[in-house]
Amino acid sequence: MSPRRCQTRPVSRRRGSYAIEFAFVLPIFVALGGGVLDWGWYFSQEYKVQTAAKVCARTGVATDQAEDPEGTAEAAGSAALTEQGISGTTATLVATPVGATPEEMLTCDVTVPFTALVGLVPTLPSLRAVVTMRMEDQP
Amino acid sequence: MTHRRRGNALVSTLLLVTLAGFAALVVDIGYGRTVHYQLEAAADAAVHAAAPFLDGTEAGVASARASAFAVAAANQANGSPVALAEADVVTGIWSGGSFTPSTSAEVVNAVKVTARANLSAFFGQVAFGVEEINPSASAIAVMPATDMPGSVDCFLPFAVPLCALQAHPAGTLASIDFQFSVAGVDNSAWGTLVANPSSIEIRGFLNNCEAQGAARVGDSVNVNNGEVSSGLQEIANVIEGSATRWDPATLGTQPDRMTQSAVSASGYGGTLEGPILVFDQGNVACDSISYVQGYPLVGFAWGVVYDVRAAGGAKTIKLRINNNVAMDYGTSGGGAVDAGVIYQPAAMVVQ
Repeated sequence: MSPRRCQTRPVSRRRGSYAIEFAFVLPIFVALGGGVLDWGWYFSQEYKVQTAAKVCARTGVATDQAEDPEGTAEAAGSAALTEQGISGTTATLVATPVGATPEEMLTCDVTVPFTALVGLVPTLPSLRAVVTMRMEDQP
Repeated sequence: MTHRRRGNALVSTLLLVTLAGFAALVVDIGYGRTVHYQLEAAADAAVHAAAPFLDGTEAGVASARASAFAVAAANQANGSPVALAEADVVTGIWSGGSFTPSTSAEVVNAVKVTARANLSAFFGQVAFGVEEINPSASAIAVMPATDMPGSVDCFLPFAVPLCALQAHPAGTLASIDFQFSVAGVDNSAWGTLVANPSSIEIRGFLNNCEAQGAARVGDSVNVNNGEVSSGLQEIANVIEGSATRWDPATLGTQPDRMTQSAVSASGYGGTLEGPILVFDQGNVACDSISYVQGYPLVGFAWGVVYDVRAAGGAKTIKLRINNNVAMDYGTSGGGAVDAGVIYQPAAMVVQ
């Protein structure tokens, strides 16, 4: 019978190599996991901002020209943001008339600073939505 | 490499692919949904802009299409203007909750816009082999029938069922006797947005038609066919004091006063004019209105009240109704009543 040869490294060395492999893989997993959380959060907040911009534009274009459609639109957009848990004080919401009658439009531009939940992967610094609609009341 | 090391590598790879799968689900789908919402806003804006041009003419359809393209392009999805293809803008007929494509300018009342985008997937290719995401969004807007405006800021406290108007050709003056509480001819009612209005409130509404605020198609009409004699007498008072006189050019020959008219002979000739609520009572017969809270308001007719019988015989209001009013009425006085302004109906995004 031939002598048995040891074909594996000692247990302590194997554990060391696992630790090194784990150290390599862990950051990738954490980055992916953190990215999933942050970008998921980003998209959910983006939806809220988009909704607010839509409410802003829709309200503005339904308002008579003589009744301050821009101001009405901005107030409606701010209310929509607040309703969805986004503080209006940190948001920038501007309603601007575009073009001239009979194709006058109203653009609502909403920008809200974005704070990532985890912050391990790069995200955009702010959320922005722009919606343009045609004024119903074309003087 | 030993079996165990290969096993570790396999587990790590599987985990990585699984995580990439989750990342694909969150990031790629989130990205796709975000662009979808942007497309949805663009499609909504486009149909909303297009529908008001549908006026029964070829030129109207062309303007509607042009407006849809222009407004869609004024919006962005995924950082680029939303560009519609010719086939993405479809005119058609909206009826009974469904859209049927049609290019016949005389009959189309709706426009459908579909906005699309092509996106490259971030993680979908790694996890699922999906290279592209193709979000799209559609919207349909309907132009309400132009024979009935969509809202008024002022109205007289009368209501008439839609079926009663449909008995008269659109665009013509209909002579209708409003009769209360008479079996078989009970064709009208006091109609308000206020639940259970008192006689005092009804008289107040007759003297100030803005007292109830604006009414819009879709509101609930509360119908009361009680005679409310004091209300009928108030109509007579308003007619007698009205500065608006019967106009033969638009209303035809003035009928004689009713027997037992509450309007005095000297005051006869005045009119009380304004929008009247039109409600849909479904399958209930047009001549058997009952006391109901919450009929749907489906439109308005222009009513010219000229005679009333408040006592003796059937309690009756005589009036002419035009169910195809022009949209530029402006204000007109009706005695103490300010008849108000009828607005151009707004396009309704229905889907």
